Amino acid sequence: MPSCSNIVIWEPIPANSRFCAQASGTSTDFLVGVRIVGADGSDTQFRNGDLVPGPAHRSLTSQQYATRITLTPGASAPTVTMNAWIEDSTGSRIFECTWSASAAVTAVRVTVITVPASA
Amino acid sequence: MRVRIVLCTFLLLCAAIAGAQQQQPPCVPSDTIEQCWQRYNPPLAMATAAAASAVNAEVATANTGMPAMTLPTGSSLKDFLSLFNAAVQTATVTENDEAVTLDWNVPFNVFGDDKIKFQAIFTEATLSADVKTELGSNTAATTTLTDSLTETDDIQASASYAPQNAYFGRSIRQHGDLLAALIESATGDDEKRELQLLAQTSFAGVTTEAKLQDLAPGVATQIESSARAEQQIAARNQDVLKAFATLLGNQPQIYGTVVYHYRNRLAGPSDLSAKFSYEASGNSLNRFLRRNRERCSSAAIAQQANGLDVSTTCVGALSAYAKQIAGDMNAGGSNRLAVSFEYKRSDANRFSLTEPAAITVNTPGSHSLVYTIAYGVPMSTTVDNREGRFDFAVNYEDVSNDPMKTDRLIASVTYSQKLTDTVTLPLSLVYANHADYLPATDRRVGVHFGLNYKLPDPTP
Repeated sequence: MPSCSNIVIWEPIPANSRFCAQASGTSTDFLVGVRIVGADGSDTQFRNGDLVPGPAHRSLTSQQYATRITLTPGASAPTVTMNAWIEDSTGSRIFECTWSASAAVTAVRVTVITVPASA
Repeated sequence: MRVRIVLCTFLLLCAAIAGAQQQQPPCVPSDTIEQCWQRYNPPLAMATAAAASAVNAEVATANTGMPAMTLPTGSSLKDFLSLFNAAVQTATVTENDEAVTLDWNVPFNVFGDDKIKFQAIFTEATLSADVKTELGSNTAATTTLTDSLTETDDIQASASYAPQNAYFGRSIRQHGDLLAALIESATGDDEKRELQLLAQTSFAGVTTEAKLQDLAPGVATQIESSARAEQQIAARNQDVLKAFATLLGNQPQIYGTVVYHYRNRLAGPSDLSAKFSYEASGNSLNRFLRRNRERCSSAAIAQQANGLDVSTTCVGALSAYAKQIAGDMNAGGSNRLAVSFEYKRSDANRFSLTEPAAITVNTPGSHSLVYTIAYGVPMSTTVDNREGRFDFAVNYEDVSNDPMKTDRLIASVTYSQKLTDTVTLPLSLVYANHADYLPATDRRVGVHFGLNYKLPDPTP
Protein backbone atom coordinates (compact mmCIF):
# COMPACT_ATOMS: atom_id res chain seq x y z
CA MET A 1 0.00 0.00 0.00
CA PRO A 2 1.86 3.11 -1.18
CA SER A 3 1.87 6.21 1.00
CA CYS A 4 0.65 9.12 -1.10
CA SER A 5 0.76 12.89 -1.28
CA ASN A 6 -2.00 15.12 0.12
CA ILE A 7 -3.26 15.69 -3.44
CA VAL A 8 -3.94 12.66 -5.60
CA ILE A 9 -5.54 12.18 -9.00
CA TRP A 10 -6.82 8.72 -9.88
CA GLU A 11 -7.53 8.35 -13.55
CA PRO A 12 -9.08 6.69 -15.50
CA ILE A 13 -11.84 5.14 -13.35
CA PRO A 14 -13.78 2.46 -15.27
CA ALA A 15 -17.56 2.35 -15.18
CA ASN A 16 -19.19 0.56 -12.22
CA SER A 17 -16.20 1.12 -9.97
CA ARG A 18 -16.50 2.07 -6.34
CA PHE A 19 -14.55 4.19 -3.90
CA CYS A 20 -13.64 2.26 -0.74
CA ALA A 21 -11.99 3.37 2.49
CA GLN A 22 -11.23 1.97 5.89
CA ALA A 23 -9.36 3.31 8.91
CA SER A 24 -7.60 1.97 11.97
CA GLY A 25 -5.57 3.29 14.86
CA THR A 26 -3.25 2.12 17.58
CA SER A 27 -6.00 3.13 20.01
CA THR A 28 -9.63 4.10 19.51
CA ASP A 29 -8.89 7.72 20.38
CA PHE A 30 -9.17 9.26 16.91
CA LEU A 31 -11.62 10.66 14.38
CA VAL A 32 -11.61 10.01 10.66
CA GLY A 33 -13.79 11.24 7.85
CA VAL A 34 -14.30 10.85 4.11
CA ARG A 35 -16.38 13.31 2.09
CA ILE A 36 -17.05 12.49 -1.56
CA VAL A 37 -18.55 15.29 -3.64
CA GLY A 38 -19.51 14.76 -7.27
CA ALA A 39 -19.54 17.29 -10.09
CA ASP A 40 -23.33 17.18 -9.84
CA GLY A 41 -23.19 18.24 -6.18
CA SER A 42 -23.90 14.80 -4.71
CA ASP A 43 -22.37 14.62 -1.25
CA THR A 44 -21.52 11.43 0.66
CA GLN A 45 -19.86 11.43 4.06
CA PHE A 46 -18.36 8.58 6.08
CA ARG A 47 -17.21 8.81 9.69
CA ASN A 48 -15.77 6.51 12.33
CA GLY A 49 -18.87 4.34 12.48
CA ASP A 50 -18.56 3.57 8.76
CA LEU A 51 -14.78 3.53 8.36
CA VAL A 52 -13.66 1.63 11.46
CA PRO A 53 -13.14 -1.17 10.75
CA GLY A 54 -14.89 -0.58 7.44
CA PRO A 55 -14.57 -0.67 4.60
CA ALA A 56 -17.12 1.93 3.62
CA HIS A 57 -17.81 2.26 -0.07
CA ARG A 58 -19.63 4.43 -2.56
CA SER A 59 -20.43 3.52 -6.15
CA LEU A 60 -19.03 5.97 -8.66
CA THR A 61 -21.11 7.11 -11.59
CA SER A 62 -19.52 8.37 -14.80
CA GLN A 63 -18.68 11.81 -13.43
CA GLN A 64 -15.66 13.32 -11.76
CA TYR A 65 -15.50 13.37 -7.94
CA ALA A 66 -13.38 15.25 -5.43
CA THR A 67 -12.90 13.58 -2.06
CA ARG A 68 -11.63 15.01 1.20
CA ILE A 69 -10.12 12.57 3.68
CA THR A 70 -9.35 13.71 7.24
CA LEU A 71 -7.44 11.91 9.98
CA THR A 72 -7.46 13.41 13.47
CA PRO A 73 -5.58 11.59 16.25
CA GLY A 74 -6.97 12.31 19.70
CA ALA A 75 -5.27 13.13 22.95
CA SER A 76 -3.22 9.96 23.17
CA ALA A 77 -1.63 10.72 19.78
CA PRO A 78 -2.27 7.27 18.36
CA THR A 79 -1.07 6.51 14.86
CA VAL A 80 -4.16 6.65 12.65
CA THR A 81 -4.08 5.01 9.25
CA MET A 82 -6.52 5.48 6.39
CA ASN A 83 -6.49 3.16 3.43
CA ALA A 84 -8.51 4.19 0.36
CA TRP A 85 -8.80 2.45 -2.96
CA ILE A 86 -10.83 2.11 -6.13
CA GLU A 87 -12.36 -1.27 -6.88
CA ASP A 88 -13.36 -2.02 -10.43
CA SER A 89 -16.45 -4.05 -11.33
CA THR A 90 -14.57 -7.32 -10.75
CA GLY A 91 -13.48 -6.29 -7.27
CA SER A 92 -9.86 -5.67 -8.21
CA ARG A 93 -8.07 -2.73 -6.64
CA ILE A 94 -6.93 -0.49 -9.46
CA PHE A 95 -5.81 2.52 -7.40
CA GLU A 96 -4.82 2.53 -3.76
CA CYS A 97 -3.21 4.80 -1.18
CA THR A 98 -2.52 4.90 2.54
CA TRP A 99 -2.12 7.95 4.75
CA SER A 100 -1.12 8.16 8.40
CA ALA A 101 -1.34 10.78 11.10
CA SER A 102 0.04 10.76 14.63
CA ALA A 103 0.24 14.35 15.90
CA ALA A 104 -2.27 14.82 18.68
CA VAL A 105 -5.44 16.78 17.92
CA THR A 106 -4.03 17.82 14.55
CA ALA A 107 -6.00 17.03 11.41
CA VAL A 108 -4.24 15.65 8.37
CA ARG A 109 -6.27 16.44 5.25
CA VAL A 110 -6.00 14.79 1.86
CA THR A 111 -7.72 15.53 -1.43
CA VAL A 112 -8.39 12.77 -3.97
CA ILE A 113 -9.77 13.48 -7.43
CA THR A 114 -11.25 10.57 -9.37
CA VAL A 115 -11.65 11.02 -13.13
CA PRO A 116 -13.96 8.69 -15.08
CA ALA A 117 -12.61 6.81 -18.08
CA SER A 118 -15.11 8.47 -20.36
CA ALA A 119 -14.16 12.03 -19.40
CA MET B 1 0.04 65.44 12.82
CA ARG B 2 -3.14 63.69 11.70
CA VAL B 3 -1.70 63.32 8.20
CA ARG B 4 1.42 61.68 9.63
CA ILE B 5 -0.66 59.19 11.60
CA VAL B 6 -2.72 58.31 8.53
CA LEU B 7 0.47 57.98 6.46
CA CYS B 8 2.14 55.74 9.04
CA THR B 9 -0.97 53.60 9.30
CA PHE B 10 -1.11 53.30 5.52
CA LEU B 11 2.58 52.33 5.33
CA LEU B 12 2.16 49.75 8.13
CA LEU B 13 -0.87 48.31 6.35
CA CYS B 14 1.08 48.08 3.10
CA ALA B 15 3.96 46.41 4.91
CA ALA B 16 1.57 43.91 6.53
CA ILE B 17 -0.05 43.08 3.21
CA ALA B 18 3.36 42.77 1.54
CA GLY B 19 4.55 40.54 4.39
CA ALA B 20 1.49 38.35 4.09
CA GLN B 21 1.99 38.06 0.36
CA GLN B 22 5.65 37.26 0.86
CA GLN B 23 4.74 34.39 3.19
CA GLN B 24 2.40 32.95 0.59
CA PRO B 25 4.06 33.06 -2.85
CA PRO B 26 1.59 32.27 -5.59
CA CYS B 27 2.02 29.24 -7.80
CA VAL B 28 4.23 29.70 -10.84
CA PRO B 29 3.63 28.19 -14.29
CA SER B 30 6.51 25.73 -13.88
CA ASP B 31 4.93 24.27 -10.71
CA THR B 32 3.38 20.84 -10.92
CA ILE B 33 -0.16 20.44 -9.61
CA GLU B 34 1.28 18.87 -6.47
CA GLN B 35 3.83 21.65 -5.92
CA CYS B 36 1.17 24.31 -6.37
CA TRP B 37 -1.19 22.55 -3.96
CA GLN B 38 1.53 22.18 -1.37
CA ARG B 39 2.51 25.85 -1.47
CA TYR B 40 -0.76 26.40 0.37
CA ASN B 41 -1.12 22.99 2.01
CA PRO B 42 2.32 21.65 3.01
CA PRO B 43 3.01 17.94 2.63
CA LEU B 44 1.83 15.60 5.36
CA ALA B 45 5.06 15.26 7.32
CA MET B 46 5.69 19.02 7.36
CA ALA B 47 2.07 19.79 8.07
CA THR B 48 2.01 17.36 10.96
CA ALA B 49 5.16 18.72 12.57
CA ALA B 50 4.18 22.34 12.10
CA ALA B 51 0.70 21.89 13.44
CA ALA B 52 1.89 19.78 16.33
CA SER B 53 4.19 22.54 17.48
CA ALA B 54 1.36 25.04 17.18
CA VAL B 55 -0.95 23.04 19.41
CA ASN B 56 1.05 23.80 22.49
CA ALA B 57 -1.13 23.12 25.46
CA GLU B 58 -3.56 20.46 24.39
CA VAL B 59 -4.58 17.29 26.08
CA ALA B 60 -2.23 15.01 24.26
CA THR B 61 0.91 16.83 25.05
CA ALA B 62 -0.27 18.05 28.44
CA ASN B 63 2.07 17.63 31.36
CA THR B 64 0.26 15.06 33.48
CA GLY B 65 2.89 14.95 36.24
CA MET B 66 3.92 11.79 38.04
CA PRO B 67 1.82 8.75 37.12
CA ALA B 68 1.92 6.82 40.44
CA MET B 69 -1.57 5.97 41.70
CA THR B 70 -0.49 5.24 45.26
CA LEU B 71 2.57 7.34 46.02
CA PRO B 72 2.04 10.68 47.77
CA THR B 73 3.67 12.51 44.87
CA GLY B 74 1.12 11.34 42.29
CA SER B 75 -0.44 14.00 40.06
CA SER B 76 -4.00 15.31 40.28
CA LEU B 77 -4.34 14.50 36.56
CA LYS B 78 -4.03 10.82 35.75
CA ASP B 79 -3.16 9.91 32.18
CA PHE B 80 -5.46 7.18 30.83
CA LEU B 81 -4.52 7.99 27.23
CA SER B 82 -0.82 7.31 26.72
CA LEU B 83 0.03 3.72 26.00
CA PHE B 84 2.92 3.34 28.44
CA ASN B 85 4.58 5.47 31.10
CA ALA B 86 7.70 4.76 33.10
CA ALA B 87 8.83 6.87 36.04
CA VAL B 88 11.71 6.66 38.44
CA GLN B 89 11.82 8.60 41.66
CA THR B 90 14.45 8.87 44.32
CA ALA B 91 14.62 10.58 47.68
CA THR B 92 17.28 12.39 49.60
CA VAL B 93 15.61 11.74 52.94
CA THR B 94 13.87 8.46 53.64
CA GLU B 95 10.14 8.52 53.05
CA ASN B 96 9.48 6.18 50.21
CA ASP B 97 12.97 5.68 48.93
CA GLU B 98 13.72 4.95 45.31
CA ALA B 99 10.63 3.95 43.40
CA VAL B 100 10.13 2.83 39.83
CA THR B 101 6.64 3.10 38.35
CA LEU B 102 5.54 1.23 35.25
CA ASP B 103 2.18 2.30 33.86
CA TRP B 104 0.26 0.66 31.05
CA ASN B 105 -3.17 1.69 29.70
CA VAL B 106 -5.09 -1.12 28.05
CA PRO B 107 -8.35 -0.65 26.10
CA PHE B 108 -11.28 -2.36 27.78
CA ASN B 109 -13.99 -2.28 25.17
CA VAL B 110 -16.74 -4.14 27.00
CA PHE B 111 -18.64 -0.87 27.68
CA GLY B 112 -17.24 1.19 24.83
CA ASP B 113 -13.80 2.80 24.78
CA ASP B 114 -13.03 2.44 28.46
CA LYS B 115 -9.50 1.97 29.73
CA ILE B 116 -7.86 -0.17 32.38
CA LYS B 117 -4.63 1.17 33.77
CA PHE B 118 -2.21 -1.44 35.08
CA GLN B 119 0.53 -0.09 37.24
CA ALA B 120 3.42 -1.59 39.17
CA ILE B 121 5.54 0.37 41.61
CA PHE B 122 8.83 -1.12 42.74
CA THR B 123 10.00 0.63 45.90
CA GLU B 124 13.34 0.16 47.59
CA ALA B 125 12.46 -2.13 50.51
CA THR B 126 13.54 -1.13 54.00
CA LEU B 127 13.13 -2.86 57.36
CA SER B 128 9.78 -2.18 58.96
CA ALA B 129 9.56 -0.09 62.10
CA ASP B 130 8.55 -3.19 64.11
CA VAL B 131 11.65 -5.08 63.01
CA LYS B 132 13.90 -2.09 63.73
CA THR B 133 12.42 -1.81 67.21
CA GLU B 134 13.09 -5.49 67.88
CA LEU B 135 16.67 -5.22 66.61
CA GLY B 136 17.37 -2.22 68.81
CA SER B 137 21.04 -1.28 68.66
CA ASN B 138 22.17 -4.49 66.97
CA THR B 139 23.61 -2.73 63.94
CA ALA B 140 25.28 -5.85 62.54
CA ALA B 141 21.94 -7.68 62.38
CA THR B 142 20.23 -4.57 61.03
CA THR B 143 22.79 -4.34 58.23
CA THR B 144 22.51 -8.05 57.44
CA LEU B 145 18.73 -7.99 57.25
CA THR B 146 18.65 -4.72 55.27
CA ASP B 147 21.11 -6.17 52.77
CA SER B 148 18.94 -9.27 52.40
CA LEU B 149 16.08 -7.17 50.97
CA THR B 150 15.88 -6.89 47.19
CA GLU B 151 14.04 -4.72 44.66
CA THR B 152 11.18 -7.22 44.54
CA ASP B 153 10.45 -7.12 48.26
CA ASP B 154 8.18 -4.07 48.11
CA ILE B 155 5.87 -4.01 45.09
CA GLN B 156 2.53 -2.33 44.58
CA ALA B 157 0.44 -3.68 41.73
CA SER B 158 -2.76 -1.89 40.80
CA ALA B 159 -5.52 -1.99 38.24
CA SER B 160 -7.69 1.09 37.64
CA TYR B 161 -10.85 1.20 35.58
CA ALA B 162 -11.82 4.54 34.01
CA PRO B 163 -14.98 4.91 31.93
CA GLN B 164 -14.61 7.01 28.78
CA ASN B 165 -17.83 8.60 27.61
CA ALA B 166 -19.33 11.97 26.77
CA TYR B 167 -19.15 13.08 30.41
CA PHE B 168 -15.99 11.43 31.72
CA GLY B 169 -12.54 10.99 30.22
CA ARG B 170 -10.44 12.99 27.78
CA SER B 171 -10.85 10.83 24.67
CA ILE B 172 -11.85 12.67 21.49
CA ARG B 173 -13.65 9.63 20.11
CA GLN B 174 -16.68 10.16 22.35
CA HIS B 175 -17.30 13.60 20.88
CA GLY B 176 -17.02 12.81 17.16
CA ASP B 177 -20.54 13.92 16.22
CA LEU B 178 -20.36 17.15 18.21
CA LEU B 179 -16.93 18.02 16.85
CA ALA B 180 -17.98 17.25 13.26
CA ALA B 181 -21.04 19.48 13.68
CA LEU B 182 -18.91 22.30 15.07
CA ILE B 183 -16.41 22.05 12.22
CA GLU B 184 -19.23 22.04 9.69
CA SER B 185 -20.67 25.06 11.39
CA ALA B 186 -17.30 26.84 11.22
CA THR B 187 -16.67 26.01 7.57
CA GLY B 188 -20.26 26.31 6.36
CA ASP B 189 -20.70 25.17 2.76
CA ASP B 190 -17.16 26.15 1.82
CA GLU B 191 -15.76 22.63 1.81
CA LYS B 192 -18.55 21.23 -0.33
CA ARG B 193 -18.28 24.19 -2.70
CA GLU B 194 -14.51 23.77 -2.99
CA LEU B 195 -14.80 20.01 -3.65
CA GLN B 196 -17.58 20.48 -6.18
CA LEU B 197 -15.53 23.08 -8.10
CA LEU B 198 -12.62 20.64 -8.19
CA ALA B 199 -14.96 17.86 -9.37
CA GLN B 200 -16.23 20.14 -12.14
CA THR B 201 -12.71 20.96 -13.35
CA SER B 202 -11.65 18.49 -16.00
CA PHE B 203 -8.57 16.50 -15.00
CA ALA B 204 -8.85 14.01 -17.88
CA GLY B 205 -5.38 12.86 -18.87
CA VAL B 206 -3.78 14.86 -16.07
CA THR B 207 -1.54 13.66 -13.25
CA THR B 208 -0.33 15.55 -10.19
CA GLU B 209 3.08 15.75 -11.90
CA ALA B 210 1.66 17.84 -14.74
CA LYS B 211 2.96 21.41 -14.87
CA LEU B 212 0.48 24.24 -14.58
CA GLN B 213 1.75 25.77 -17.82
CA ASP B 214 0.78 22.59 -19.69
CA LEU B 215 -2.81 22.47 -18.42
CA ALA B 216 -5.90 23.64 -20.25
CA PRO B 217 -6.83 27.29 -19.66
CA GLY B 218 -8.67 27.77 -16.39
CA VAL B 219 -7.51 24.50 -14.83
CA ALA B 220 -4.36 25.99 -13.31
CA THR B 221 -6.33 28.92 -11.94
CA GLN B 222 -8.88 26.58 -10.40
CA ILE B 223 -6.18 24.43 -8.79
CA GLU B 224 -4.58 27.44 -7.11
CA SER B 225 -7.96 28.79 -6.08
CA SER B 226 -8.93 25.41 -4.56
CA ALA B 227 -5.56 25.11 -2.84
CA ARG B 228 -6.04 28.53 -1.27
CA ALA B 229 -9.60 27.66 -0.22
CA GLU B 230 -8.44 24.37 1.30
CA GLN B 231 -5.77 26.21 3.26
CA GLN B 232 -8.41 28.49 4.78
CA ILE B 233 -10.82 25.65 5.53
CA ALA B 234 -8.04 23.59 7.12
CA ALA B 235 -7.06 26.54 9.31
CA ARG B 236 -10.64 26.98 10.51
CA ASN B 237 -10.88 23.22 11.08
CA GLN B 238 -7.71 23.33 13.18
CA ASP B 239 -8.90 26.34 15.17
CA VAL B 240 -12.03 24.45 16.18
CA LEU B 241 -9.99 21.36 17.04
CA LYS B 242 -7.63 23.40 19.18
CA ALA B 243 -10.44 25.11 21.07
CA PHE B 244 -12.23 21.80 21.55
CA ALA B 245 -9.05 20.12 22.77
CA THR B 246 -8.54 22.80 25.41
CA LEU B 247 -11.91 22.04 26.97
CA LEU B 248 -11.58 18.29 26.40
CA GLY B 249 -8.37 18.29 28.44
CA ASN B 250 -10.34 19.66 31.37
CA GLN B 251 -12.99 16.92 31.33
CA PRO B 252 -13.52 15.12 34.64
CA GLN B 253 -12.22 11.62 35.18
CA ILE B 254 -13.67 9.01 37.48
CA TYR B 255 -11.95 5.74 38.27
CA GLY B 256 -11.79 2.86 40.68
CA THR B 257 -8.52 1.20 41.68
CA VAL B 258 -7.64 -2.08 43.34
CA VAL B 259 -4.14 -2.19 44.80
CA TYR B 260 -2.20 -5.12 46.18
CA HIS B 261 0.87 -4.04 48.09
CA TYR B 262 3.24 -6.95 48.61
CA ARG B 263 6.00 -6.62 51.17
CA ASN B 264 8.60 -9.03 52.41
CA ARG B 265 7.66 -9.68 56.05
CA LEU B 266 10.85 -7.86 57.09
CA ALA B 267 9.58 -4.75 55.31
CA GLY B 268 6.11 -4.88 56.86
CA PRO B 269 2.70 -6.41 56.29
CA SER B 270 1.20 -6.76 52.84
CA ASP B 271 -2.08 -5.00 52.23
CA LEU B 272 -5.00 -4.91 49.82
CA SER B 273 -6.97 -1.77 49.13
CA ALA B 274 -9.80 -0.43 47.03
CA LYS B 275 -9.80 3.21 45.99
CA PHE B 276 -12.33 5.49 44.35
CA SER B 277 -11.12 8.71 42.71
CA TYR B 278 -12.69 11.70 41.03
CA GLU B 279 -10.89 14.50 39.19
CA ALA B 280 -12.47 17.66 37.88
CA SER B 281 -11.56 21.01 36.44
CA GLY B 282 -13.79 24.07 36.47
CA ASN B 283 -13.56 24.84 32.76
CA SER B 284 -14.51 21.55 31.18
CA LEU B 285 -16.40 20.74 28.00
CA ASN B 286 -19.29 19.55 30.20
CA ARG B 287 -19.51 22.94 31.84
CA PHE B 288 -19.31 24.80 28.54
CA LEU B 289 -22.12 22.68 27.07
CA ARG B 290 -24.29 23.16 30.17
CA ARG B 291 -23.86 26.93 29.98
CA ASN B 292 -24.57 27.00 26.25
CA ARG B 293 -27.31 24.41 26.09
CA GLU B 294 -29.51 26.33 23.69
CA ARG B 295 -26.96 27.22 21.05
CA CYS B 296 -24.99 23.97 21.34
CA SER B 297 -27.76 21.42 20.78
CA SER B 298 -27.38 19.32 17.62
CA ALA B 299 -30.35 21.05 16.01
CA ALA B 300 -29.09 24.52 16.89
CA ILE B 301 -25.55 23.90 15.58
CA ALA B 302 -26.93 22.59 12.28
CA GLN B 303 -28.66 25.96 11.78
CA GLN B 304 -25.55 27.99 12.53
CA ALA B 305 -24.12 28.59 9.06
CA ASN B 306 -21.99 31.53 10.18
CA GLY B 307 -20.28 29.53 12.90
CA LEU B 308 -17.69 32.14 13.76
CA ASP B 309 -20.14 34.60 15.26
CA VAL B 310 -19.20 34.58 18.96
CA SER B 311 -22.46 36.02 20.21
CA THR B 312 -24.87 33.58 18.62
CA THR B 313 -23.14 30.35 17.60
CA CYS B 314 -21.80 27.41 19.54
CA VAL B 315 -18.47 27.22 17.74
CA GLY B 316 -17.94 30.97 18.16
CA ALA B 317 -18.62 30.72 21.88
CA LEU B 318 -16.36 27.65 22.11
CA SER B 319 -13.44 29.47 20.50
CA ALA B 320 -13.90 32.51 22.70
CA TYR B 321 -14.15 30.38 25.85
CA ALA B 322 -11.05 28.32 24.95
CA LYS B 323 -9.03 31.47 24.29
CA GLN B 324 -10.13 32.88 27.62
CA ILE B 325 -9.03 29.71 29.44
CA ALA B 326 -5.69 29.52 27.64
CA GLY B 327 -4.99 33.16 28.39
CA ASP B 328 -6.02 32.61 31.96
CA MET B 329 -3.95 29.50 32.63
CA ASN B 330 -1.98 30.97 35.50
CA ALA B 331 -5.18 32.34 36.98
CA GLY B 332 -6.73 28.90 37.25
CA GLY B 333 -8.20 28.23 33.82
CA SER B 334 -7.17 24.58 33.82
CA ASN B 335 -6.54 23.90 37.51
CA ARG B 336 -7.69 20.48 38.62
CA LEU B 337 -9.00 19.08 41.88
CA ALA B 338 -8.78 15.37 42.64
CA VAL B 339 -10.29 13.60 45.62
CA SER B 340 -10.10 9.94 46.53
CA PHE B 341 -11.31 7.61 49.20
CA GLU B 342 -9.51 4.35 49.92
CA TYR B 343 -10.25 1.36 52.12
CA LYS B 344 -7.15 -0.58 53.06
CA ARG B 345 -6.83 -3.93 54.83
CA SER B 346 -3.38 -4.83 56.12
CA ASP B 347 -2.47 -8.42 56.82
CA ALA B 348 -1.14 -9.56 60.16
CA ASN B 349 2.64 -9.85 60.18
CA ARG B 350 3.83 -12.56 62.58
CA PHE B 351 7.21 -14.27 62.44
CA SER B 352 10.28 -15.12 64.47
CA LEU B 353 13.95 -15.15 63.54
CA THR B 354 16.91 -16.72 65.28
CA GLU B 355 19.56 -15.45 62.87
CA PRO B 356 21.18 -12.95 62.59
CA ALA B 357 19.32 -11.96 65.76
CA ALA B 358 16.57 -13.52 67.82
CA ILE B 359 13.50 -11.38 67.22
CA THR B 360 9.77 -11.90 67.21
CA VAL B 361 7.39 -9.67 65.31
CA ASN B 362 3.70 -9.94 66.12
CA THR B 363 1.80 -7.23 64.26
CA PRO B 364 -1.97 -7.76 64.08
CA GLY B 365 -3.91 -7.07 60.93
CA SER B 366 -5.67 -3.73 60.63
CA HIS B 367 -8.10 -1.73 58.55
CA SER B 368 -7.71 1.87 57.59
CA LEU B 369 -9.36 4.57 55.53
CA VAL B 370 -7.24 6.90 53.45
CA TYR B 371 -8.56 10.26 52.30
CA THR B 372 -6.65 12.16 49.62
CA ILE B 373 -7.16 15.58 48.18
CA ALA B 374 -4.90 16.92 45.45
CA TYR B 375 -4.88 20.17 43.52
CA GLY B 376 -2.98 20.64 40.26
CA VAL B 377 -1.96 23.94 38.71
CA PRO B 378 -0.53 23.92 35.16
CA MET B 379 2.04 26.64 34.53
CA SER B 380 2.28 28.09 31.06
CA THR B 381 5.65 28.92 29.56
CA THR B 382 6.84 30.92 26.62
CA VAL B 383 8.22 27.73 25.06
CA ASP B 384 5.69 25.62 23.17
CA ASN B 385 4.75 22.35 24.83
CA ARG B 386 7.15 22.74 27.75
CA GLU B 387 4.69 23.69 30.44
CA GLY B 388 5.27 22.84 34.06
CA ARG B 389 2.73 21.98 36.74
CA PHE B 390 2.42 22.14 40.50
CA ASP B 391 0.54 19.41 42.34
CA PHE B 392 -0.35 19.79 45.99
CA ALA B 393 -1.60 16.68 47.78
CA VAL B 394 -2.64 15.75 51.31
CA ASN B 395 -3.19 12.12 52.35
CA TYR B 396 -4.72 11.24 55.70
CA GLU B 397 -4.70 7.60 56.79
CA ASP B 398 -7.17 6.88 59.56
CA VAL B 399 -6.24 3.62 61.30
CA SER B 400 -9.27 3.05 63.43
CA ASN B 401 -8.98 -0.41 64.89
CA ASP B 402 -5.41 -0.74 66.05
CA PRO B 403 -4.34 1.21 69.13
CA MET B 404 -0.71 0.37 68.35
CA LYS B 405 -0.82 2.42 65.20
CA THR B 406 -1.52 6.09 64.87
CA ASP B 407 -3.12 7.99 62.05
CA ARG B 408 -0.75 9.19 59.41
CA LEU B 409 -0.64 12.45 57.49
CA ILE B 410 1.37 12.97 54.33
CA ALA B 411 1.49 16.28 52.51
CA SER B 412 3.41 16.88 49.33
CA VAL B 413 4.06 19.52 46.75
CA THR B 414 5.44 18.44 43.38
CA TYR B 415 6.66 20.55 40.52
CA SER B 416 7.02 18.70 37.23
CA GLN B 417 8.69 20.28 34.26
CA LYS B 418 8.38 18.92 30.74
CA LEU B 419 11.80 18.62 29.17
CA THR B 420 10.70 17.08 25.88
CA ASP B 421 7.39 15.81 24.49
CA THR B 422 7.93 12.53 26.34
CA VAL B 423 10.20 13.32 29.29
CA THR B 424 9.14 15.12 32.45
CA LEU B 425 11.31 16.00 35.45
CA PRO B 426 9.44 16.01 38.78
CA LEU B 427 10.71 17.48 42.05
CA SER B 428 8.73 16.83 45.24
CA LEU B 429 8.80 17.97 48.82
CA VAL B 430 7.05 15.45 51.06
CA TYR B 431 6.11 15.82 54.71
CA ALA B 432 4.93 12.88 56.83
CA ASN B 433 4.07 13.05 60.50
CA HIS B 434 5.61 9.61 60.96
CA ALA B 435 6.84 6.67 58.96
CA ASP B 436 4.49 3.94 57.84
CA TYR B 437 3.47 1.62 60.69
CA LEU B 438 5.46 3.61 63.22
CA PRO B 439 3.35 4.44 66.27
CA ALA B 440 5.41 7.28 67.68
CA THR B 441 5.46 10.72 66.23
CA ASP B 442 8.48 11.02 64.01
CA ARG B 443 7.96 13.94 61.66
CA ARG B 444 10.05 13.84 58.55
CA VAL B 445 10.44 15.73 55.35
CA GLY B 446 11.72 14.19 52.16
CA VAL B 447 12.83 15.65 48.88
CA HIS B 448 12.09 13.45 45.88
CA PHE B 449 13.21 13.89 42.36
CA GLY B 450 13.05 11.66 39.33
CA LEU B 451 12.19 11.28 35.69
CA ASN B 452 8.96 10.36 33.92
CA TYR B 453 8.98 8.95 30.40
CA LYS B 454 5.98 8.45 28.12
CA LEU B 455 6.66 5.77 25.57
CA PRO B 456 6.10 6.99 22.02
CA ASP B 457 3.69 5.06 19.89
CA PRO B 458 5.47 1.85 18.87
CA THR B 459 3.89 1.78 15.43
CA PRO B 460 6.50 2.61 12.77
